[in-house]
Amino acid sequence: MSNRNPAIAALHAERPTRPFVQASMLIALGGGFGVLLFSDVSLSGLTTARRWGNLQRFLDELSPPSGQSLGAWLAGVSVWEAVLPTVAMAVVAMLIAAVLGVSSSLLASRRLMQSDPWVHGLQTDRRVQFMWAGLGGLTRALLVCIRAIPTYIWAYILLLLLGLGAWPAVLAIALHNGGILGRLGSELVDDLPPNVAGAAWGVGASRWTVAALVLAPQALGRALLYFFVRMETAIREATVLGMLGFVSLGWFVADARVRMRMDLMMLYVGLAVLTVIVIDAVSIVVRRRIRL
Amino acid sequence: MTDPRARVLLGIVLGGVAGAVVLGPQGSGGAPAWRVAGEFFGAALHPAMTTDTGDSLIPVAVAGAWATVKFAVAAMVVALSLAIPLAFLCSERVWRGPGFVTVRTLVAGMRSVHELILAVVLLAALGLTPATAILALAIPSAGTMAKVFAELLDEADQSPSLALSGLGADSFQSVVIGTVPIALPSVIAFAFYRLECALRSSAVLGFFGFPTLGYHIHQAAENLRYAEVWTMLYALILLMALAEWWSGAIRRHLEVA
Repeated sequence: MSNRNPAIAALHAERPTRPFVQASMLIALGGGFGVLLFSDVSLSGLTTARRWGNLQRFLDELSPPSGQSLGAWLAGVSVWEAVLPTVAMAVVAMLIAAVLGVSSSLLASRRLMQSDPWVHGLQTDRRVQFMWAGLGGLTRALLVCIRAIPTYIWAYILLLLLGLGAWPAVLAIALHNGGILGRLGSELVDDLPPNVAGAAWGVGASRWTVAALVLAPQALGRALLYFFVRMETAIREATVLGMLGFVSLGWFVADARVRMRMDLMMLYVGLAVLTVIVIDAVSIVVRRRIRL
Repeated sequence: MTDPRARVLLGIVLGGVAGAVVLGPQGSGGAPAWRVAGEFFGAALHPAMTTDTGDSLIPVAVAGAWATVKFAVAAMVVALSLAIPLAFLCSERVWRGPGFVTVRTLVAGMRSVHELILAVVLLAALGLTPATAILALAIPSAGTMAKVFAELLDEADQSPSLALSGLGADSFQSVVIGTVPIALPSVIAFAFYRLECALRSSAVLGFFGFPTLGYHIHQAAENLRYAEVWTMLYALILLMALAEWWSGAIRRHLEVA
């Protein structure tokens, strides 16, 4: 190091360092290794004889019941009864999430929720300024809360409140994803170039007119991209939520497990994987068609 | 309707309506459901600080949050140690051919199984042990990270690695030395985003018997102790807000979107 060319040494000294990121990585990775090596949360359970016995039994149960032809075995899988409600749940939930996301992305936008969004200094009344900022801050705090609660926990709670059915699951997916879309959408609105919006505002359009006629067309492309990315997640979540008792793919997985039909369980897991792959492919095709 | 985006929007709305028809109306409900809902959301204003026996709930919530963090970070270490080698094997820069296709298919399979479905399968196969939860969180996460890391490698500026190849580096060397440093900020940012997801899933695994926050939410809700449910939900919200702030701060420091 000492015999380094001074010009290179100067470059080395000027290289960008990011102490915050380095410290974060140290904490996260060091913490993870520490937990794995020195706490009860470790992979050691994998090596005990009991686990291997368990696994052996599980693998034995994986084979289809004897005396059944392959055709009869596969015919036992209710493909449509499982896949159709799963996809329907995700699609309805995402439509609701989109409505929630669009409205909350306006109410959570830092730019829009000011007394004078594009031209500063017009509004001098402190109370009016405070009201707009407060409303925006409140929406953002609410969005943090609804997206912090995972879909599964939302669904469990709504199931207690609404009773068994598909709609608690639909609302659960809609709420969690609405919270995420609201945040992404408000960041999108805030990142749009202010020139056209400012001009429309300057000639007298209200902020909501500007939002509908100027911001919406500008943001639509990215917004649809976010929608389809979350749609792919929503399908995965819709499969899982069946485990709480709604008739989606997850219900068939949980039911097969309770009936100790591990062979059927793995078939339904396979069906879930297939559904996810097909929807992902559709989403990729649509995204390419609208060039996102 | 010449704008394809308008047709997509129309498709989304029609799809949603068709889906609602398929699902049909919600069965039971009505007046009692509204009362229960009022009771539940009313409890949000006064979360429980103690159990009925008078013990403080705060240590319970902290222990639940701590267990949630432990499972998530342990799973992330396992996921990263799988995802990093897989990312190179999924990169078009490193190799092509049948091996590449095999690895990509494997990775697609890994990320197509949801954490919780995988948890059910692993619980059946291995039983209730921390390793089950770690693997259930780690495998889908590893698949997702491997795919995204590989795409980041493929999209990064090629010129440094081409220069290295010109100097005689093989494809692995030119990618590691010429491309990885360019992709690294986005890789780190994405890994922290996945940590956020792992925390969320780790909390839910409590519903399957692991000692994370979900376990306490489940227990309290089964006993209809809504005020206790809210204590645990607030702990979860606090944890997730902190995680979101952390990964957001990392993105700002790295200047990636």
